[in-house]
Amino acid sequence: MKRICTGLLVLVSYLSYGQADTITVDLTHLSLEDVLVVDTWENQHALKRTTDNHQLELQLKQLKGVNLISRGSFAQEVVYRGQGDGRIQVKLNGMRIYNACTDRMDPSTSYIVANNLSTAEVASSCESQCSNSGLAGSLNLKTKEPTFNRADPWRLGFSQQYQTNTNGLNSAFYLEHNTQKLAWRLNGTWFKNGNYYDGHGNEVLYSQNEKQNWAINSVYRLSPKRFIKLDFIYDLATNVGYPALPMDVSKARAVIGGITYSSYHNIGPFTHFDLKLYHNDIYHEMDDTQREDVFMHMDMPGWSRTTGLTFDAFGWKTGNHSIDVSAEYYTNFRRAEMTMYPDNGTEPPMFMFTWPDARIHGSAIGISDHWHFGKNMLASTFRVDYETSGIVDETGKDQWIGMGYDMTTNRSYVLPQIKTALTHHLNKKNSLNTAISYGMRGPTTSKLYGFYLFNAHDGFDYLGNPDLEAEQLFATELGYSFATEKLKLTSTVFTQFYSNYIFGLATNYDEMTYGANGVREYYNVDKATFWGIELGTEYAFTTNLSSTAKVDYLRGFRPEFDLPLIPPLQGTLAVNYRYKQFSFLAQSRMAAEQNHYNTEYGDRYTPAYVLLDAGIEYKLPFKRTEAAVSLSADNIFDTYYRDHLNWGGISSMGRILIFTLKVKV
Amino acid sequence: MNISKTFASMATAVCLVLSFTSCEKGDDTTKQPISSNPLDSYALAGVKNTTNADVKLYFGEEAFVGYNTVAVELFEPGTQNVIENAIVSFLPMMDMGTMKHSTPFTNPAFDVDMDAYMGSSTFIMPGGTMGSWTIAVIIDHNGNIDTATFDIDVVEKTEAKLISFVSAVDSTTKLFVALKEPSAPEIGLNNFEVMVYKKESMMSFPPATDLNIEIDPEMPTMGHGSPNNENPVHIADGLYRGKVNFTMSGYWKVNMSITDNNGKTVKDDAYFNITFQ
Repeated sequence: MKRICTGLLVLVSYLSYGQADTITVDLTHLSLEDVLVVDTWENQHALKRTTDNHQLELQLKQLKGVNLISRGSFAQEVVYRGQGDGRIQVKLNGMRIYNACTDRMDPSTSYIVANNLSTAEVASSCESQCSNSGLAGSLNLKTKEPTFNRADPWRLGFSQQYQTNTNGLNSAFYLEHNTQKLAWRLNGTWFKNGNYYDGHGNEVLYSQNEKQNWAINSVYRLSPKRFIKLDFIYDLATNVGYPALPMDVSKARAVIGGITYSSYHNIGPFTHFDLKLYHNDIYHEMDDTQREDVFMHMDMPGWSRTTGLTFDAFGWKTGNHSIDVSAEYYTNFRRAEMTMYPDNGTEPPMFMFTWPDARIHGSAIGISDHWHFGKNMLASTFRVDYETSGIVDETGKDQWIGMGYDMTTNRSYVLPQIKTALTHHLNKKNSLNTAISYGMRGPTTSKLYGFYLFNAHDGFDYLGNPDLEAEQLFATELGYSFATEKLKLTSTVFTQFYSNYIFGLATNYDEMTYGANGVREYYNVDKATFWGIELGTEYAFTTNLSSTAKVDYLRGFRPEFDLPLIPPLQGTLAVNYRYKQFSFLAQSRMAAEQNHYNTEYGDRYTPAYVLLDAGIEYKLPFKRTEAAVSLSADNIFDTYYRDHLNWGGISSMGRILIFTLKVKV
Repeated sequence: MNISKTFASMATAVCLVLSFTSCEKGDDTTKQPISSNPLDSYALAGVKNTTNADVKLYFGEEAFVGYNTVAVELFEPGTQNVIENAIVSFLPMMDMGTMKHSTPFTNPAFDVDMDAYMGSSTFIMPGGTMGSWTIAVIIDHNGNIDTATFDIDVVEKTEAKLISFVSAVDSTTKLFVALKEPSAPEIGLNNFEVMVYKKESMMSFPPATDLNIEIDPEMPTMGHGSPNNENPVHIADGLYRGKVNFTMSGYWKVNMSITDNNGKTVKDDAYFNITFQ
């Protein structure tokens, strides 16, 4: 550890006193390749598939390397290059949000709607910034911010949608107002969907959902260079079905709030800084009362409360370096319970904690440097997290003492991460990049303290392991990109070598869940390897006709077998055309068959599929009001298919037609 | 100027965070104050005055079928002066009219912490229509022998704390297994203690000290057990001690398989039901 620190200091000082050059570094061009504009109303592109869908996950799916684990048609779990919660870090406006469901029915992205976001950025393990601790990648979501626009103090927009297949109604509106000092934006979303039907016309039972989301984002100008920002989100999902799981969700509620002080005055050598305090409170309640053949009724509520403080200082320019620093403190409390009610009338309910009042404290400091020299740019980050966790509740502790663990001391992890990426511009059109990173992450609450958490995909109960060690990742990336005015091409090959990989292995314990296949406990296994290729191209035939294509391939395995839930070779091909007030889109989504699967861990063979989508939008010729109607059709031919990442072999959605009216005043 | 403002905001924010983090529920482990008399929580079974001592008899709780802790307080007659040096013994007796029998017990010895003589009696049947229980407390104080006899109501608990069976090895020896711990079961690891006695005659129930006991807890309603249990081993005087892990609250059945020291099965389907919330 000491050696790493010293090494870093040498590196940093070397970087700091490197060549003197006058190239200014604009951070926005450096960090991330993939910036998705998910703005429903301000979209400048012709028509993006699923642009109008308020479900954030479906939007994120468009990002390179992002796939969704589906347990139904709602609250899909984002995985990036095969890695999910714990290995990737999702932040909303810099805030950590930890889900409250032990069965991952509510990934943190499920509490955020797409139409309230301005950007979603994904950063790989090699390019994560100093403000984010994601080992295998980071997803940074940013909400829309109100703007100071004196000429137009009030702005209002709404959209109304009807979709076939789920017989769904989706409504959204926003209201923005600003005065000289204060600007605020209210965003409201409401949607309700029934069960969906697959390509064979079969109704997928328990796939309904209903949700509302309210957000207020405001900015108060203290002075021309100092601001206070307030973010507040209330999200409530009710009656959400999960066809791949044995139960549904009756209520998932999030209250998310943060206050930020932003100053563009110099602080030391830095040009500006942000100081943010946030808190969020999530409550989640599973529900088996809608299901038939329930072995025994149970209540499974979950709570997650997170508080954090972040400090980020940007733009220390020295020579041709630009340095940012970041520090954060966060603490998360989680409880989940299971109470089962025998219906024989004599027995009392059975109770246990599934998350036994676990609290994690984390603090971190990080520094990143962007250094331009010659035709090169070297981006480096060093960050170290100190994470400590324990069980607060005595009964919760007793559960784990009962399993034979010493619970008198907290678990602590020192988690350094070091990343460096070099981009070399061969000439104006061609550039090469290479990146390398080494880092560690601590186990999540479920991996440490989860008590017999049922996984419906492989049918095993998963037991945490309070003696887990940190997981290590050594990752590399190699890329080539080519860009002219008409053609843009990017290609990346990446590898991820895990050691101390946290993975569930069989035990001879009795399963707790009725009908489960057995119990697996998390252990640090020696190795896991992932590698993949991502190709992307955009070509503009004319100013009105353009196309994009994307191909992803990923492998993930332990020395002796393939890892589960790895997407197959996938591709997307899309053509956009604009003619006067009309925009058209045609798109094909393709996936090859998946032969690399692991039946022991719930996978099955997945056949290949090819889907076709199309859409048309017409901008109404009003002078003062912007309005548009659109019709988009996904899976036009009602093809029956199943995404490999669908849990429990549930089939995916068949044809869906979406009618949209959008108005902006 | 700006710096000072900055620091003021940071300080405010830190305070806010601290106040946020402190609003969590603390752990409720505040202990009850220890009462002055350790026998306060016991059930008084009776008071008898003999020539040489005033005798108070207590049970750990209302006497029940199973293992009972029994306490005897001795005072010099008419005073509150505790007699510490007597030799005290028990004789529990069930009078069924046509016949009488005793029950397993351990004679009490003076316990300095309790300020009383502590022993046990494992009642093997309830009192009531079939007969009634008495305990004779025999006191030998400096050679003076007194006997105080108490009538005892022995009730049967809804969840049996005692099981009896005939050994499958010889088909004649009758054995009694009484559940001593957990007396207050909770989630997690509990001491599991049983007292095992065999019947030699109507009046003699010596401890059975050479058995092997394997336990296997299960939740019958759910059909699962729990890991990390420890089989009870013989400690002394018929007491076998192990550990049982209750992963959740509710109804548990602790199955016991008992063999003798030759590995022959004595009883392979004994069990105790333990229910707690």
